[in-house]
Amino acid sequence: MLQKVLVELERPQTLAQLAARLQVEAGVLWAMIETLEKRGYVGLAYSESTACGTACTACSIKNLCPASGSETPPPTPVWRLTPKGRASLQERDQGVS
Amino acid sequence: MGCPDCEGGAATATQVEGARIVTVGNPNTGKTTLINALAGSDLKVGNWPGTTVERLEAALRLPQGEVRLVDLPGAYGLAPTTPEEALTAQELLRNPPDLVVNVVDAGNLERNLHLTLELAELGLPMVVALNLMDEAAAKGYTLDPAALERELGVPVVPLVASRGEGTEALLQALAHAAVPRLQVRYPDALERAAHELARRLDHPASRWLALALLAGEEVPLELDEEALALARGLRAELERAGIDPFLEIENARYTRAHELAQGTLVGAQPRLTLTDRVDRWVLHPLLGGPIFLLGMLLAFRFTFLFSTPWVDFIGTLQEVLAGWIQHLPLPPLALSFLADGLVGGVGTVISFAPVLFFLYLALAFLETSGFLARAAFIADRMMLLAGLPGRAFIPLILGFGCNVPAVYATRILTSRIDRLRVALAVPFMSCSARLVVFTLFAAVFFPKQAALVVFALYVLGMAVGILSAWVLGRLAGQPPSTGLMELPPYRLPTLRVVIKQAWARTRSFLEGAGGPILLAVLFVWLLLNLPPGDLEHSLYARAAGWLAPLFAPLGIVDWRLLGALIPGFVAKEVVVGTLAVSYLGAEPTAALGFLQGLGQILATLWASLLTTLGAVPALVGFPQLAPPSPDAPTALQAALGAALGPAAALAYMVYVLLYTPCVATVAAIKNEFGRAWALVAVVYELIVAWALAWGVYRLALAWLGG
Repeated sequence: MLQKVLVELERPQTLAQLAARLQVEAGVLWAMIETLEKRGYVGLAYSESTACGTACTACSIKNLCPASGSETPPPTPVWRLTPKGRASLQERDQGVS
Repeated sequence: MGCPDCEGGAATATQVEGARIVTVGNPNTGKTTLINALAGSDLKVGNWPGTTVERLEAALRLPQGEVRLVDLPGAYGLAPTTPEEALTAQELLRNPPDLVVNVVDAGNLERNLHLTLELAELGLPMVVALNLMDEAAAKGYTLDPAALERELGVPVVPLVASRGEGTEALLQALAHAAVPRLQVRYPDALERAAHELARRLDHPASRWLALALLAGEEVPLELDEEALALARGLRAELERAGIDPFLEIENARYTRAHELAQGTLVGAQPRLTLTDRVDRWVLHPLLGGPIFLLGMLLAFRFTFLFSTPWVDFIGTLQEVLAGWIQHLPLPPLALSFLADGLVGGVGTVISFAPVLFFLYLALAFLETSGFLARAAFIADRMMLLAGLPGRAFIPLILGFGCNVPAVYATRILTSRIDRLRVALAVPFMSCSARLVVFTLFAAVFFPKQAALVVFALYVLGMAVGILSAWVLGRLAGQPPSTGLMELPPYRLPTLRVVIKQAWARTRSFLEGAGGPILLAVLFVWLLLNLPPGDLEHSLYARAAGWLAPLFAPLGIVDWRLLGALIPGFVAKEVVVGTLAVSYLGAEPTAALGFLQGLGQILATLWASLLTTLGAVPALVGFPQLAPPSPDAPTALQAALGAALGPAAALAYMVYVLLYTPCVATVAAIKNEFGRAWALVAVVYELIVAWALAWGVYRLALAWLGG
């Protein structure tokens, strides 16, 4: 199940879409993502640092920016495979072949 | 509940006076409520030693004798990732209780059963308290506790602890607690390794400990070095065989939890939320893109319909003020400074306000409603189709707000080549500053299709940016990558929040850009008046005239239009202000009486109000209720209309859209990628802008005529 999640990260989709594809509840998928994130297999597609610095003042959609240093959490967290997650998939593929 | 399936389990501990029972479960499963319901007033509240984590304890008088009930902190798993989980794991392993009551949220069964399966590996007598049955029913779930009981081999008691329902049955079930029969089956190689390691560990929870060590987890027990070395060796062996122990273990647990939940849920009918139903359309692979574009088109249409009357109103205010100034007893040059420089400059800054306010209003609505997040998702998919890293959508979308943070936001991309190609594409995204130029020109040359023209410019900028990044990616041979996105539910934004957000952003833009615009406009006024009284031969006109041969193929030869592009390099917002000063400075301003001016202001205000109200049905395609403002075009609009034709106007807009990024964006590119790449960005974008403006001019000439 977790490996399927890692494989599925290769294509863009929402949490709800992937939950439907894997036939699990969104809450379970969220837990899986958290497990994978805490163990370094997936990571958020941005750093927590204020990448935009102070340059956001004039930006009309800065709340959408996950790196704006906004006080509110980003509304669209995006996860991606980390090098560890990618390596794990590759190892598995090599082991299978 | 007698639990016939639990016979033959481990001897129960509850018959022993003074036995210690712990409640374990995920956070928010109602453990505290349950312990309150069981213990009543005998509850003791304190902290776990050395921590601030709350500790609940109660003495329970059972028919078998008195027992101690201790509530362990909420945990999703026993491999600790939070202080609470660490405490729970520590208590269970260092100080094993006599009995575990696993509190499970019936409405989130699958997620909760993951912990149940871990607890089953500890080898402790257990009872499952299936709490929140009422919430599960509200979600449309029907559960069969007996099926779960058969699988686990321990008593499973359905409960609604908040109402005290099932608590008696739970107390009775404690007498039938058993060590769970069910064990997760892992891949053979892993099972063998776990078995070998467990034999070496002298602990009741040796199987769980062996699996944790193989997964590379830290365990809250002191183990001898020999056992740890064996664990490391076995783990390395598994990894050499292409097995990631952590993933395999978690995988097996999630799979088993899924099977258990499927077997327990009878006729589950999870209800589709409104968000699910709307997302079927909005995120549809084929319809998603057009719906996103339609949403943006509506946003522009809204911006135009509602801002145009107020831009006209500010234009009238500007003209009336300039007319009043002519009555002041001052020399002509001073009057020109006040009327053309100061009023013209400040007026230009203020004239941005309605356009930006209504655009920000539309964006705030789309953002807070959850639509913009969907747009980001659609864009993410489009990035993949274009061979870009999926998350490139973040800087590209941000580019519509302001290019500067968008360039910095490329830091979210890991590969330097990806970052660079997206940073070079960002300036093609039309930032808010350029919208003001488009608004002016579209209103003059394409009054009936203004929103469509501006929308097309945005799409053109996006297409050029994506194409540019794609071509650069192909040259660098970068593979695309993408990810998984969580989307917020749809919400109906409140008017107050939307207006507050739009106003804050408009004010922030005007405060940030107002000063530089005013300074640039005053500087241009100065250059236009050196030497005084001869605009055509002023320093400004001569400098701008040097560009004329370069822009003649685009149909743009007027030095005023060309001159405005130069300060536009400092900030795109300055273009309109410069045009206003250079066009209107040539026209002598007629003096205006106070009452005459006031009459003009009131008449325009009334017309603007009527046009705004009449624009509401026009937003969705119906004819406007009130006719558009009958006023003649503003002086600047009239001057522009006389200076060039629609084809050249289109070419000018395309050039402004694509030509060199503003100084702040170039500085951002320099900071991120170095001086050489900043120079490349400027040259590259000047060339692309000229080439496309020329192409658009030739096409428009053929289609629209001069």
